[in-house]
Amino acid sequence: MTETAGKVRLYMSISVDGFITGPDDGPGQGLGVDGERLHAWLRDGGVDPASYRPAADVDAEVFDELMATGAVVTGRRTFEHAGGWAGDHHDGVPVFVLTRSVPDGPAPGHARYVTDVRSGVAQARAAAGDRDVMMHGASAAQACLAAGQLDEIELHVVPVLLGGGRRLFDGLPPGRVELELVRSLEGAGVLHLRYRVVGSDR
Amino acid sequence: MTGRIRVDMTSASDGYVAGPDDGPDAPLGTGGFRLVNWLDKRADPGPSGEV
Repeated sequence: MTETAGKVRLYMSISVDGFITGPDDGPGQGLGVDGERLHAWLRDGGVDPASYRPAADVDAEVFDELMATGAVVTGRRTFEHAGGWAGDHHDGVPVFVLTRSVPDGPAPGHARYVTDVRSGVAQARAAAGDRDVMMHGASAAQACLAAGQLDEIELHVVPVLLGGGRRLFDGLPPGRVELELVRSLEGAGVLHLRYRVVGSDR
Repeated sequence: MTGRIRVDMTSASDGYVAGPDDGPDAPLGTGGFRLVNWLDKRADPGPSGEV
């Protein structure tokens, strides 16, 4: 990777107790019970991600950064819960959907299914060029982290305790992944913390 | 104005307050002492010392 190459960065809203959904998430309730609280820093939106752009300056800046990425890598679960973003996450950039088995029929719009993490991320990096790659979804992020392909993690820390739900890094084998805080921004009711993945001892 | 009862807890970015297998012989679990490294800076100027 050259100095000017973009970064693969996970963006994730998370509660102070480490949950990225409330309990009982599933189709029709992608964020689980009370999980919408995690997106309260965003505007209420629809299928088009751009409709979620928040009003506050700092939050809008962070949002604009993620909408300026040159490719999206997502897990299939997240993709399907989001209605596949109707085939276009933003600006027609390619969306690489990680899946264990490719479904029948083509992926919608600018999306394509990939079964190999390294290959999917490599294609996303190539498509993004000097722009960053946006990572979406916990299991996709874990797979990329395990493959050494996740460069940065941007957590939008929301001041709430949910008490249950899906954890961002559940299922990671024990072992330490060292992170370095590279940026900290205070938004309206949310803290945006950007970490660089420094290394892993596993 | 009365004082407040405040929980002060060092936590990992994934929400853990100890590593795996914590117990009497390893109170912070495997690798968990990483969580209190910031206390090495407690005498330095800056936010760590302030807290």
